[in-house]
Amino acid sequence: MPIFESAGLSIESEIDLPGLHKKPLGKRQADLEIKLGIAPNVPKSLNSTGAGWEYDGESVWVRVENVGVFHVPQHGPIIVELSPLATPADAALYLVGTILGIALHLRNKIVVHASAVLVADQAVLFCGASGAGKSTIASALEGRGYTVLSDDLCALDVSDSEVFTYSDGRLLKLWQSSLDGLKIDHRKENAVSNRLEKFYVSHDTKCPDRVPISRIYFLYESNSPDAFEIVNLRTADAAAHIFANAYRPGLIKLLRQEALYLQISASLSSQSELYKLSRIKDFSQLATVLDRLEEHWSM
Amino acid sequence: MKKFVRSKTWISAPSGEEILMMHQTDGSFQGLNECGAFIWNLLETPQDASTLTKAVIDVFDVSAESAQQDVETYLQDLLSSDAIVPHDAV
Repeated sequence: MPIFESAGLSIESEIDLPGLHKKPLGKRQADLEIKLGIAPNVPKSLNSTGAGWEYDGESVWVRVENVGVFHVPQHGPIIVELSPLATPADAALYLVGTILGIALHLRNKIVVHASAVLVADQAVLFCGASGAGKSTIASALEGRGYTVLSDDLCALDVSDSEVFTYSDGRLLKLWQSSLDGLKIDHRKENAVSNRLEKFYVSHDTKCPDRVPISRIYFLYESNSPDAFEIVNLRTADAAAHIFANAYRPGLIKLLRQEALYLQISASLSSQSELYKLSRIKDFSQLATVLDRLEEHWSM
Repeated sequence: MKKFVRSKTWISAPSGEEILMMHQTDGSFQGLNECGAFIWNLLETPQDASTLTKAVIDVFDVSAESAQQDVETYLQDLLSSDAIVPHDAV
């Protein structure tokens, strides 16, 4: 069975996970297993429910129409029960994003919505919700010779008082408009889903496994072309941004992980630089944004 | 003299020489500078303003008057944000 690597976890999966890096496991047991099967029934007493998901205190059930049910327990394998007309490829799209993010939350890992690049042997993260421009900036920086460490999801960890993120070598996912704007249509691989104009993009996967974080930029959109601004965030504001950019902010409260995220926010504030980055989201301005970022890194 | 102690309303984490705090109910954040962090750490156990002032004078290069003013300001701020409570209220 193929072994994939993402966010510091080795993943043994019965479903192919396009976009993730395959890695030999050796004699080690995988950190996470993904199996096709019948999802356990949802217990009658639930801790919390939301649109398309349920939580019983130990496991999360996620239901995706025409795809299936994902049972994500705190311990043990993720079970994927496919809908009658769904294929494993339909489920894979959710497995490498939402489901992996939930599995990381449930395993007490700190996970943020971010793409990361390597700058002077350290990680620079770009945080923001879907559509904020994380992958576009990471891909454009790759065009200038920077290595992409991860896309969309970054797991964070503290070791010897230093905060690290993991590189997973996963393929970038870009909308067709971004491929056109970046003029990298030739690097386009398979579509992320046959329902989306979003594609995997090949990139150099030779990067270190774990990298200390030097800077985090929280992406904001501005309507004015001359409104490029990088503002240093003070400790309390920085923490609010980390919490808001957790992969699933609602899970922090549900899983009572406030102290965990507060600790990582405090460590990041004291050891890294956290900024609010406002810029116009326009491909004609992208080169200027990269110029200003490189200028910022040289200061 | 009235003593104060941390309430359970906020959780905190050290951030270098500062302290990062989070309100457990409304999710708001607050940062304390080095002096504030020092006072917050002492307030893990009940303390009165006079004891805190003496401790601040011992550690920081400040006058007695300035230390007393700082301690009173911090205690007031922490009380108004429910981060500390009078000891007899615990």
